[in-house]
Amino acid sequence: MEQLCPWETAQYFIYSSNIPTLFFYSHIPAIIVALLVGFLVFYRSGKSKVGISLLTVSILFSLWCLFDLIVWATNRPDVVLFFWSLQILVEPFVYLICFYLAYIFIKNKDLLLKWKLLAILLYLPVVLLLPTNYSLIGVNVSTCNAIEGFMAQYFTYIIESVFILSITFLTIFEYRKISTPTRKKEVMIFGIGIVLFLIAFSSGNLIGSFTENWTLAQVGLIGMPIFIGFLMYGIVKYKTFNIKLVGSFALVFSLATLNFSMIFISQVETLRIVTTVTFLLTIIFGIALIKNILLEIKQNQAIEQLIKARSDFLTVASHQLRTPVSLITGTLSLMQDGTIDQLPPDQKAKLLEGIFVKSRKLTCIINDILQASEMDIMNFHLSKEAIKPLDVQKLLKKVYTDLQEKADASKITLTYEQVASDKAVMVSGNEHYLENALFNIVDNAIKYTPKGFVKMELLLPEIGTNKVIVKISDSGIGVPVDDQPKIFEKFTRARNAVNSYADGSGLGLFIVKKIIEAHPGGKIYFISPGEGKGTTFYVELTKS
Amino acid sequence: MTKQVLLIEDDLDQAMLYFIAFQHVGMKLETADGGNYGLAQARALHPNLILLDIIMEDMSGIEVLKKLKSDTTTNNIPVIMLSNLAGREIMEQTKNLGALAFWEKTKVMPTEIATRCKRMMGVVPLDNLRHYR
Repeated sequence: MEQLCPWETAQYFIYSSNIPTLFFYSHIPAIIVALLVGFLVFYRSGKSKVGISLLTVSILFSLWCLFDLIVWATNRPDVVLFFWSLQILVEPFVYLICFYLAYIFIKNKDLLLKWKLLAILLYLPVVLLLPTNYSLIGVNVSTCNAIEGFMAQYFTYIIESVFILSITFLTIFEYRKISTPTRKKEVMIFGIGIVLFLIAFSSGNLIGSFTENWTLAQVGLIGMPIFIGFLMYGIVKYKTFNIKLVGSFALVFSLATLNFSMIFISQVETLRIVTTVTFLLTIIFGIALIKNILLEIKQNQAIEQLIKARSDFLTVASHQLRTPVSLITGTLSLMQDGTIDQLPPDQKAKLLEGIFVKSRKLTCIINDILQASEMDIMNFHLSKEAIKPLDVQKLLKKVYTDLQEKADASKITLTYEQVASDKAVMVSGNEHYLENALFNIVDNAIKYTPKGFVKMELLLPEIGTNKVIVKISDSGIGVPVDDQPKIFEKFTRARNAVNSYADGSGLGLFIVKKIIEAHPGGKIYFISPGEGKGTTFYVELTKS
Repeated sequence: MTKQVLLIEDDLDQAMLYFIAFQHVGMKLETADGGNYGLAQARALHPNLILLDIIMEDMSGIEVLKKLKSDTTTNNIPVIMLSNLAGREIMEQTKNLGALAFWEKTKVMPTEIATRCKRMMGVVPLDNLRHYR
């Protein structure tokens, strides 16, 4: 018959008189919070490598705590041997993953394959020697403590020290290299948190391994709150979850657990009923509270996105404005210091003409930026009062007349094919904005057509539909296939072409799209077979 | 040997301004109208200094800088960023990539740029001019 340790058999694997009550308070909450936080970060960080590593550490750490409780509670030496072995397996792995986590967090890139292999090679003996006497020799049946071999007593701690030192050096090295104060702070807090956790974890086990006093070894568990604090930091850093939410979760969870256990502990029937009602109310109000906080977080995220969009807009807008300004001021400075006087007359004239052209472009860019900015921030829409029946035929005729001169100057054939002369084609729209949008499209077509034609057409709907389609085609430079999905985006040209100011602000089509889509049933799209093959724009409007 | 400055800038009007300004201070400016051509010119001419724009159609100045600094034939050529982009982030980025300085086109006029380059080529050691503005 197998010899048992001198206390009763454990109930539910983790409960016996050998286990100090304090252990349930140190281990179980840490397991729950670590897992909860680990999973939340994992899902909220878009399952990134940092999220995956953080979750792995949480799971491994929780498993280690669970195995610890089992080892303490059981009176069976074979169970001790099994779970003690698992702890030996899991513990250095926590260090390995923590090192990986620290590396990808601090360096912001993945670890090189050779370093990954080296880390695995370092860990490999732990796995290979686990079933041998080098790991565990046996179990002391009077205390149910395992007798550790060389590998468990020394080698695992060597590995752990290597990982702790590596993380420390990595943190110090990167901290000194980084120049951004916020990032510096992030790296420092992260590094200190993770190193303190690992040191605390090691020190507790070191005490146990060498003094055989495994109660004292629980000192190592002071690493738990540090670990949770570090996880919390990760959460805040990744903006994946709000501290407020985690706090509320923890509060609701604790209250519900407390109430739930009271239902079973209470011997008085009426008290049990009251506790059940309290439990249900905690759940209901808890869910309401968490829902409210989630809503608040969502609103905050929307505000943050808006701020970022504005900041991006300002960066590119300021570049767009500076480009012609630098040319104008540059030329003026050459005039001021007399450089320009030494130039031949034709070169001088060219420079002066450049200033004039750039000044005009600058005015256009300012107007476009102001309009696009307003449309972007105010989420442009046309009120019902602003939409009136208007004759699109008349509008197109006006655009055609206004741009005829420009087309002639560019030696482009601009044509307008009317549906039927003098017949009004009424659509729902705003005359000012629609004229602006159609003018922009035709103007663009002329601008990007070095030779050939620009053709304006009005396609009348088939019977049964209430659509009117304006078609503007050209034989111009076309739109490269790669650029086609981006053509209606703000500053698309500006991001790809320094000369964008020469052709406009890079906002024209963004504004046009906003205007057309603000019209009832308004749609705009284009077809271009590719570079140098012309473009055809279609504008769909609704018949009045 | 004549000191050579290469300007990588695909805005021809802008390039012309700098060309005139360099001529005025008695220096010859080589120009390349894009990132790819700029890289080729840097390898072929091995200039004493490169002035590099950031927003270019074929390849951004950041990419050009990375390529220049990772190529053993060009990594020792000092590079000065010359752009209308401004902001701490972009300055920090180019500095970390090995650019010597960041000059904003609206703040430093063409003649001043030409004069600075001339001074750098002749008298002042490059390290003394390591400034970002």
